[in-house]
Amino acid sequence: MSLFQISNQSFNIASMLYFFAFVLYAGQLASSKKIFTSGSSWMARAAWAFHTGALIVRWMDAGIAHPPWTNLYESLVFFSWGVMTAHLILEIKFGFKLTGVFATAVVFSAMGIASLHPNKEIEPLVPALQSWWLLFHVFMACIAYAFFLASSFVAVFYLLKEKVRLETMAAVAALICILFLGISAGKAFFLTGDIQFFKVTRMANAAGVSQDVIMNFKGPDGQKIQEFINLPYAKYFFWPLLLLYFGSGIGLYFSNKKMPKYFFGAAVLLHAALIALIFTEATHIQGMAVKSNPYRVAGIIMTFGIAAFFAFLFVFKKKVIAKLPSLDTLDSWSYQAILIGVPFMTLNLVSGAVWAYYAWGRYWGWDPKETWALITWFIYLIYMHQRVLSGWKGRKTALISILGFFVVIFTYLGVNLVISGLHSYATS
Amino acid sequence: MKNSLNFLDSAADQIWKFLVSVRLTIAILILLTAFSILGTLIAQQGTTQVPIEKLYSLNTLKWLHTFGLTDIYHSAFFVFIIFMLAVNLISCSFERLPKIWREAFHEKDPKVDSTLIHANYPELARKRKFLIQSPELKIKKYSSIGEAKMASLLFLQEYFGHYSILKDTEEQFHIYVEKGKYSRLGVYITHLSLIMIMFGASLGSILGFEGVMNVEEGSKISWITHLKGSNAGLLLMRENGLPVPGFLNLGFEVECEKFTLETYDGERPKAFRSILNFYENDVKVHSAEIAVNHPTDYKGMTFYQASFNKVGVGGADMKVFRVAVKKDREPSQIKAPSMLKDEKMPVIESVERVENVKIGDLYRIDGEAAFKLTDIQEDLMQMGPAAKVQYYPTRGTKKPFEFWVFKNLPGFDFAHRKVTPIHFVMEEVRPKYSTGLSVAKDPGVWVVWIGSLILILALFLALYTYHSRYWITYTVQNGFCIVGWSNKLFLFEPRYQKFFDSFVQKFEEIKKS
Repeated sequence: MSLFQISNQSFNIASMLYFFAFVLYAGQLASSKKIFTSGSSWMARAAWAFHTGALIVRWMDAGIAHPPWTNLYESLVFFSWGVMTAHLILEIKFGFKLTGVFATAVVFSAMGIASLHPNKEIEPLVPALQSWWLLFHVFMACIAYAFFLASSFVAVFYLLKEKVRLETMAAVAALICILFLGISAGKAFFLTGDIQFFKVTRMANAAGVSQDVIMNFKGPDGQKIQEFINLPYAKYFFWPLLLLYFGSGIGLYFSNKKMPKYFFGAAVLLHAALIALIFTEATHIQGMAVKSNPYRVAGIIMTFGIAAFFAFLFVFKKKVIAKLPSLDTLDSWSYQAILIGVPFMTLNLVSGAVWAYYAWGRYWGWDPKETWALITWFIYLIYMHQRVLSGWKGRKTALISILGFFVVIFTYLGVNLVISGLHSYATS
Repeated sequence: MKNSLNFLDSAADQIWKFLVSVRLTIAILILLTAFSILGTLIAQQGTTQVPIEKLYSLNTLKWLHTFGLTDIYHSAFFVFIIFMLAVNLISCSFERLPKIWREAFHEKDPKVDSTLIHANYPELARKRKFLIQSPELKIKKYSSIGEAKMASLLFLQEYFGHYSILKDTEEQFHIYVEKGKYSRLGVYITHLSLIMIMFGASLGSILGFEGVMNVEEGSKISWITHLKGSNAGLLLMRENGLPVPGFLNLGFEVECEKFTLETYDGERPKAFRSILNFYENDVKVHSAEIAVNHPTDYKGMTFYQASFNKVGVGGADMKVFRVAVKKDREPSQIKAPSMLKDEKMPVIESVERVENVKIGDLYRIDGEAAFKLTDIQEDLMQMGPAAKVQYYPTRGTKKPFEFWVFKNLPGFDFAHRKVTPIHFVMEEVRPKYSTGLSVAKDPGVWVVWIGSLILILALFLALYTYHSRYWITYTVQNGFCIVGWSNKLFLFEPRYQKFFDSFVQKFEEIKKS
């Protein structure tokens, strides 16, 4: 077996173990049985070990100057590694296991999205990426984002513990689902009802040309020739899904009755079916020169995770709250994760600036990705100043931290879906 | 008169209060965030690949222009917010730094008030200002106060390396220890470094400029185009006394001696680099090889490898065959390319490969004959790439042979000119490139880098270190009481616990030994 195959196999094993860890973490939210409490941790650590090993082997295969985070596939895998590392550090240091369910969910989804990428080969580096700053810059970004996410996970539990009305939170979640699903579906969906999920080159169906040739085939205008395959039955899933989230969101917000919760649950089930459809369809057309649009898939999976979590809470709310540590503890954990994240975010910005200076001739150019990284930084600066100087604590800071989650996700993936920029994994 | 002065005083006071308020900081940060987001949602001039004129309709564009939304980040409003941020940071530092400085470095009160602190600890602890352990530690086993003191001093010497004794009597003693007072400066150094970065950035935008240069391989250029920068108007290239917009005269010449392109599979670029020579009054003064991520500096300007363009044909790879004229020679291993299948093969004596033959350059063959290329075509009469060879059979030949050779018909010359000993084959046409350089002058960049470095170090100082103070009291009646204080209690608390535990442990150890 080549190093490349070993690494890929290890990624697969890691993904599988992450899924088990996710189930166990979800179990230990509601139960104190040993299989859940210590089982989840050990499962996550085992998965992390495979994940780390796979990254190292891939790096060995590609060569020292080519770290395993240079295109979207690698970036997703590496980013999820960072999230898990941050979680494990917090878990071992503070013994805080409850956020494991979020961490493993994020990681498993990211690995899932990555697995839709048919081209997992180690791609040669374009000249701009041939720099040691790549190594440092992305690593810093990963650490910063991971701790920001960890902070927002704790913040959600803080709100729960503080007895913020669960129905209201779920209604907000439903709204977020509608928003992100809408963005993921894209403008074309609302105009024509089609969702352009899979990119395929025009010639790919006709001739058995290798993926590499097709991906580099250029049309007469110098543009790469690409077409899109639509997700079949998309409109039968999407419109009911949006309507269900909308209806249940309104219901949850205004009433305490059970009916909206059932509708919300139905939406989550339909959502799961949609994801199943995407993955079946992806395996159908694997082998053709097809790429799924990872940003759209990411949006759908992420919203599912959020919605499923609230559906879970509807059932296990009391048990989960009983297991949470004190409000002060939760508040301080959320804050400390941000304190770890901020210097790394600063390092990320500075190293990006240095690299941009050497590669593009300017240290700051208001490229959308750059700008959104700066926006993320601003958000956490606001958090820290409000906390230290204005004495904001508890609910207010928890809300900023949760806002931070969306800003981080948007900076990492959303910018590339909505706005394209100079950052390389925009195109792959 | 007095009233109006009062009024002025209070107005100044109000303005000062506004400038140093956190509200202003937060408002500025929110405004910066909001406008940054807007700038990423509306395509900005110069940042998109497609010109924004093509992205928006004329009407929309008119509206966007009216509100300055097509270049938000350079609009007066945005610059003003950043300026206000600097003002806010400076005022806040002026307002708070002296106080913190006094508190951290000169204040003697905490030492003096140690008894007061001990007396009031429940109140202070409730306000979460001090951390307190039980006044009666379970280490009362010391027979004499002297023994207890020795043990505590030993421990503190080991733990901190320093301490000061505030009070030392028969009944009681007070010891004071302090650590990490420089941590208090972290926040201010952070802010200072941000001001430094902003200063560096404004230096760059006032004194700097950037532009583009496209230099063909083998030629020299002394100006840059697509000039951007606020002082660019002063430097514009002039033609007949009139400035040419967007052009800047460098005052020296840049030559692209050689451009190399490496690809992964013939398509995707792996690396591209240019050898640049800089000439002042036709004297070469600087020379460098640049590549992506590896620029060069000259006269305060930085030259980056940004792109490349194919501008035509630069040369050709040629093969020169020497054919045996006598027929009794052994046939060689090397085969001559043939055009026709049944053709009689000539016997090859030698083959020489000449790479990248440029038009007009004369090449000697065996010191006797010579050739040069007079023309290279990428597609001659739909027969593919071709080169026009001028062949001089002997030294001093006045009238050379002149003929075309084709890449796709390698045997053409063999078939065409049968009697001569020298034959030519063209292997590849070498494209001619122009190297795309991006040129920038930014005198502020070092200020930005130093500021960034300080920012990172100061952030670690500000966030991960803390200033802590301990008061240790021993009274014969109550035993030990330890009070701790820090400017960052949440970081201090675990450490305090550790300190406390090891304090107790030390006493146990000493007792045992």
